[in-house]
Amino acid sequence: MSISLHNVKRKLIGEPFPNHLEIHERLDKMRALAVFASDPISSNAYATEAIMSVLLLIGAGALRFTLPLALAVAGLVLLVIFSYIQTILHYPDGGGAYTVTKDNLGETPSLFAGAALLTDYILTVSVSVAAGIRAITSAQPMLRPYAIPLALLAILILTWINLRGVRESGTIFAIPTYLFVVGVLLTVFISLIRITGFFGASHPVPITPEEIAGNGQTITTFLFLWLLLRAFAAGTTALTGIEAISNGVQAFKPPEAKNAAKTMVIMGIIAMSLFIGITFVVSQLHLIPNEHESILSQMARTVTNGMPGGIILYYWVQIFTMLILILAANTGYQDFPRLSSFLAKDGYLPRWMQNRGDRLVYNGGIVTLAIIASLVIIVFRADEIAMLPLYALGVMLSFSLSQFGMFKLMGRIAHLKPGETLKTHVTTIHYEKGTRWKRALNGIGSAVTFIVLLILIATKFVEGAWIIILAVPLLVFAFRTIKHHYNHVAKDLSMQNFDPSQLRDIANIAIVPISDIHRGTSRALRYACRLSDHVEALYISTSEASKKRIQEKWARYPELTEGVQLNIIDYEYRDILTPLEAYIAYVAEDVYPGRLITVVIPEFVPERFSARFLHNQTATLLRLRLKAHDNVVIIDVPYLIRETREAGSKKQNAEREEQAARDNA
Amino acid sequence: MRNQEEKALTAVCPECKKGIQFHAAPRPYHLFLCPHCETMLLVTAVSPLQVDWAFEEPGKPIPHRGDWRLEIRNWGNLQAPNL
Repeated sequence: MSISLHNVKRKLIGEPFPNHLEIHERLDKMRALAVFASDPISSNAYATEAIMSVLLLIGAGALRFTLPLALAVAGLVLLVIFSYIQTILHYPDGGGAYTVTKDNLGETPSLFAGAALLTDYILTVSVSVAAGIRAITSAQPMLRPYAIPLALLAILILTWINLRGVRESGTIFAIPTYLFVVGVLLTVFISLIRITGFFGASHPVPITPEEIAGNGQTITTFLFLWLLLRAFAAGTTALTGIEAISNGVQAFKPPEAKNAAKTMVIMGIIAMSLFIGITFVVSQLHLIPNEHESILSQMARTVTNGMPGGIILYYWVQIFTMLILILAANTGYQDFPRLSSFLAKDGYLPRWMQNRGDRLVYNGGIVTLAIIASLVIIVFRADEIAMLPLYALGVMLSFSLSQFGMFKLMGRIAHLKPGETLKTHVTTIHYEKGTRWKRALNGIGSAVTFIVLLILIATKFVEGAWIIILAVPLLVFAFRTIKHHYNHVAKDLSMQNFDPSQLRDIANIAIVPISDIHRGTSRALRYACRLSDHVEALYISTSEASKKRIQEKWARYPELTEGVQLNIIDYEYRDILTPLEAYIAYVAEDVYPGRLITVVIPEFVPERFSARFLHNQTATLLRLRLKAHDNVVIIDVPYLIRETREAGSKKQNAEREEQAARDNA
Repeated sequence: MRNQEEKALTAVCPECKKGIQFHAAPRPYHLFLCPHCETMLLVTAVSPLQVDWAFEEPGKPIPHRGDWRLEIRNWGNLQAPNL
């Protein structure tokens, strides 16, 4: 098998899937959970620590607020999950916050939701990969100078796996995700047994609060409340990725909405069990965040210390924490391409982003995400701490808008009588019970997430949040510009009020730019002669010698050149495209204004793909330039250069060539 | 005898019209430069030996220099198509 781009692609990506396998490629709940929930589950590796780090600014005593704040965050998570389950059930075609906002709040808010989520998915990939690479370079400091190439390599691998298909990536990513969940749950379970002293287990050795030095400062009530709010906002990093399932409802096996909603519930239970479990144990053990060791690592070490086989559990938790931090990026890989396909379908992103590739995944979105996330990695030098202030803002904005959208939708449903249905722009709603309390929960969720958004902006603005505040409106502007372009194209191509007499007349002329007389150009000349009575061969002569040569060759083949006007333009410079374009434009605009002229471009095409880069530079560029001219029709006349290698041995070929030359002579 | 062999291995450059002496019979469709004028030539027949210009293909064009609309006015020899 020869090495070609096609073969390499087949080896890397796999054989293309036919359309009917789309249903086979869909995810069962087990795989879907791993694919969509890697981000919210991985948040448990740092969410508790995020709360504690802010509380420490108040003083060590304030750490007692960790559990209540974690419970408040968990409450918010439940609200958001509830809202997104409603979203999934009411918008079973997917699209999440973007679709809900579009349907209930209008175009501009939906574009803000879309832009906010897209930026956050990019950051999910960059931050997760950078965090995972930091875990590796922390263990092996000699790799620290290679953090950027390693992060780019990780993005490349993730991109490759995702391009192979949703089901395959789900299978690969499921193992570390579930092993992380099992490892941490086991650690929490053992902690609870040891803390409560069940089965006569010994209590792990805690760090007592007396050992913690307070900062000794007294703070005002306002500052205290502000820091509490900041700690709460920091804990909301546990919310990132929760919305992922709502975007990808159609990735589930049927019944899609039901399976997606169930997976959302399971995800919520797992993520919150881990979050509250870790926070409870950490609070009981009075652990304190420090720069050198994560809270999760401290918890696992303290709990497994002195326990038979404890070291295995400790390393299990550590290794799979590192892996899940990298795999959290997969949530971005799942949702960025899906969300872009929704935006592309509505004309806000390039059309090619809505197409599925060979393996039924949105290739365009996956590759675009990989490129932008790689650029972010390079710009921030793979430093996730520097990227963190930018993170979570987009998600919170989309949560707030989405829940407000659901609040409005519930209001519309409340007006329906039993048996009544109503078609919105996107979905069909029916009468349902309990709309008042559903509406209230969505309203509270929207308000709380909006407050969290304001806190995040206020606390992280200087550290980098301003970039997102600037980027989101710019993205919205870009969406609108793309849409405007598509609208303009649609209007221009519309057959409305079409009058055939408006069509341009076709001028009786065919221009054939030539560089020589050979089999390639002779075919183009013959072709042009069938199109028009007036054929001109256009030759740019840069020297007297070349002019003489073409004239001599032209005279050699009268049966080919008879009736064709050889137009030689003397030109003293090397940019031969200029006179070619100039002459063709002159003929098109001045000689035949308002009519279509034909340019026949001879092109010889080597059979071998790699050899094609050796030829046709002028033809390719001329074609590009001529496309800017409204009334020039370009026709390519290819001449295939056959390779003789496969037809026989070198000796046989040489004999054949010799015979051919004798025949010619 | 030797003269006949030499004659059989001689071709005329179509560019400079000078004779080109080969030391051995060239392969058909062999590309070479004329030793006199450095024009790229092609062996089109071996018996009798004949050479011709090789195919011409412009290299990668250099970038646009300026406004071609201004330059076209200076083309005195332009043969515009007959209407």
